[in-house]
Amino acid sequence: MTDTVRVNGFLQEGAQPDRLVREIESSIQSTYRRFFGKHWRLRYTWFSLPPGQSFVAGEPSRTSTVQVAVPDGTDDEVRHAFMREVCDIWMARTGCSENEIVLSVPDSSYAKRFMASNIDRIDPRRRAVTALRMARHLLWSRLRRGIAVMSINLSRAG
Amino acid sequence: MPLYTISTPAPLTAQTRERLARAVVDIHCGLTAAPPTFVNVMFSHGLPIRRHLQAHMLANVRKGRSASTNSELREQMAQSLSEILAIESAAVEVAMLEVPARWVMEGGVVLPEPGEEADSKWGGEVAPHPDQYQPAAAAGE
Repeated sequence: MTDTVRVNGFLQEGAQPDRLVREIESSIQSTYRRFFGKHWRLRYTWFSLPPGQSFVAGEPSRTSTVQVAVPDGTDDEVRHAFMREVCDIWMARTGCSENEIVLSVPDSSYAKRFMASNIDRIDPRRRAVTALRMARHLLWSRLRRGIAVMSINLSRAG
Repeated sequence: MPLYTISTPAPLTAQTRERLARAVVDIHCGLTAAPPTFVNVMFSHGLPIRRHLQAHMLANVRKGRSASTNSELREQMAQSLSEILAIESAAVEVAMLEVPARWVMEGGVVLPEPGEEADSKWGGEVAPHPDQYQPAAAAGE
């Protein structure tokens, strides 16, 4: 039996080639299975940030933000070792500094609440259509580019 | 962390985004004394946010602050959004999610709990105590 974990990330638009993102996905997948069991499959969704749409300390940012949920109640020692490895993978593959990656490794139940909060801001009457639209963008991207990525701006998500 | 995501129906100008990003830093650091170095703000547009809203902010902040501090954070963020975007306060919503600091790695280290920044290896400079903090606007910027 396979269990699925959602991984959500925000990438600076054009900063990472698709091939590199696929390599990172594969490396994190292997690391996740080593830490939490071979039955886990990671499902990635990436959102690209156009220039001028992310800031840190009030200045334009080059930071990537990634959230990888882990089983509820994961021990801190295990969680922190996993976080260290994922950050190391990210920095080794992308060449970014440790200040350019924010990694969140929450319990799965928190990740679900985070997703619910994101959905909650959407007009209830347009949630289904929006979800379909996003799924279409992500599927098309997966088929065409090998990664599920869309703009953080839905109006130009394609 | 914190990570503030601001969603609007239409794109904001670059100037407005910069103004908002700085206001978020000023408010967050002014109320919490957290280091400004790691205050992240992202903007998105085009998402059909709820009909009565013209701006939505999702705030991901470290868990461990008092309910009154978080309430004040939400209020001041909403007020700032309303003022800078020149929209009614009823058209703004600020939602907040608290995440345990030990679940986040930034600057190569696991985040310290709120108030324990000075004792950690966290790379950012610790902001002055809220009573001493001088926002950029007040400093004449």
